[in-house]
Amino acid sequence: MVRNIRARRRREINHRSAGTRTCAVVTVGLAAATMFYTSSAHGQTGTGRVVPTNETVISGYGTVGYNAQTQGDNLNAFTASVSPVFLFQFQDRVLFEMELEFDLREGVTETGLEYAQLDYILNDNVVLVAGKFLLPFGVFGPEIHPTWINKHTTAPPLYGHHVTQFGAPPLLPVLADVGAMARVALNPGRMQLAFILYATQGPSAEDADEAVPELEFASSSSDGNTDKMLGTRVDIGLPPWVRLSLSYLNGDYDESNALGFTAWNVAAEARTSGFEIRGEYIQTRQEIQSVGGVPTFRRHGFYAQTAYRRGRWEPVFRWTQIFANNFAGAPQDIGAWQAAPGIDYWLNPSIAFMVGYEINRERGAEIDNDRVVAHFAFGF
Amino acid sequence: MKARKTLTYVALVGVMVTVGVSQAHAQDSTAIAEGSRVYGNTCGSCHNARSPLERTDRQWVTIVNHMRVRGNLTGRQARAVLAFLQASNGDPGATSGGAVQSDTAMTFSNLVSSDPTLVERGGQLMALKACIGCHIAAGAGGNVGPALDDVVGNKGPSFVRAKLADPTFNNSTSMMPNFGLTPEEIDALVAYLGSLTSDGGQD
Repeated sequence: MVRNIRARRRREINHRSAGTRTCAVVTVGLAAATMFYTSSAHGQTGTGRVVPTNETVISGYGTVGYNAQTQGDNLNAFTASVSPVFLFQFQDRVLFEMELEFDLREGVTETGLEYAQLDYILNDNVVLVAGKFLLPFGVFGPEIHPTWINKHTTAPPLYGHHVTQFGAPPLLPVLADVGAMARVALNPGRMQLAFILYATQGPSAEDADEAVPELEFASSSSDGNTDKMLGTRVDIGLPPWVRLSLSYLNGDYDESNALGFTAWNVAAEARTSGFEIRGEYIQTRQEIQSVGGVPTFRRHGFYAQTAYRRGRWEPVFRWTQIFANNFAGAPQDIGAWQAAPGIDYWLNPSIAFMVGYEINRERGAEIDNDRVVAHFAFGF
Repeated sequence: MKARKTLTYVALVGVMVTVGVSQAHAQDSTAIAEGSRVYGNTCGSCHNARSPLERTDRQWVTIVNHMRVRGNLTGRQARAVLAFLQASNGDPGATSGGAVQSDTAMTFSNLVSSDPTLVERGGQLMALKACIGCHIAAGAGGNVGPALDDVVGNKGPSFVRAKLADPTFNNSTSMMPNFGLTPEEIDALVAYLGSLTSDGGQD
């Protein structure tokens, strides 16, 4: 009986590997054929006064600030971080983008490669991307995570981008991964549509012996298994008023391609006359090895953030909540919420003083994890 | 099951590429006006609008391509935004790195000229700077910013002059770009705007 199960599992694994290889080969073939077909398409820079052949531009963002909290090792400390973005344009179709991250953590300067991607502009609607890129899962990670764009001193704790006092691990502990991506943008009438497909290395288990292994996205040049994570996102928008975004990703995280991780996201935003509200809902399903089969550990959560700009002042408020649907024998029973009011004072469109307060509460715990974060945030 | 999933992804990529190719050659002769609208509506829906004067023409080419990928703009939209930014940044090479020009010490006149030559020049500048991409003027235009038909009468000439010289003087996160206008150009625009009537016509 056990031998039969193992044999079936091996067949599934082989089948999955073959499927992934086929997918990669056909995708690359399609892309190559289309590149050939569209090789005479007009240039992408068009009607402006200057069409350079090569150009390098430095952009980016940073913060300096102060963090005061009631728990943890990093009590009452000044903070500083900077994320330079380097853009290398080659002729009119190729762009290499790279973002570095420098952050002070416990007396050590941490460095990171946020993304390093090659963009090939195939035609007016399709861009092919390869390298390490921000995962187009939801909108916070790929589009609004810089502080001056996010308008809040801290990230919503659904995403595991920065140090947090939140009482639950993030639902998606990654903003970027290594792989390939195709992006399609359409503009019928006043609508803005986008379709994105990507394949990346995907997650792996931090400690495979744990009952519910914590997942990590190593973003390295090697993969923990033969399976690739596949993901997609669809955006429908009527700018500047509303946008709806649906994202989905799926991949195996163990060495034998037997345990899967699935996540999906619904993001919505609306704005009018200085007022904006946006929110994201994420649900994750993680298969777990168990004596009785392969149960699924399900977690879900959301955040909603609203801001209202009046002159130089912009008050902001964010509510976040994470739930875990427990199952028999599971070792974790997680639930936490956060209320985070803040206020911004804008000096110019990309420079602001920001102060935020986090009220962090964990289900079943009487711990006060509140903190105040003050930032001078700038985009350059 | 996995094979079906793979086929689905392949089919999706094929559809995406086919749709992309079929739409690749759309053109728009009013690129600057469209660019100002896209800049205000689409770029401005994620972040506050940066001044066109912050970058040179060459730098904007690279940055617009970067933001095209990030913001899911079409090539046509990206070219329009680029045309708008390049038409709106004056001559940044001559202004020490394209720094935003604003003369806070300037005193703004409260006079409105009715000189027909100046009014005509203001109308030409309105077209050149694609103001109606975002504003309604003389009965036509976009709705990103407020209507301009009564703006001189309602706000006063000195306010309009201050706004044209530095759009952030009363709102630090204003989406309106700083066009680096000269005092003569501002006088012409105020003369033109002052000639507009509330019914969408001209005096």
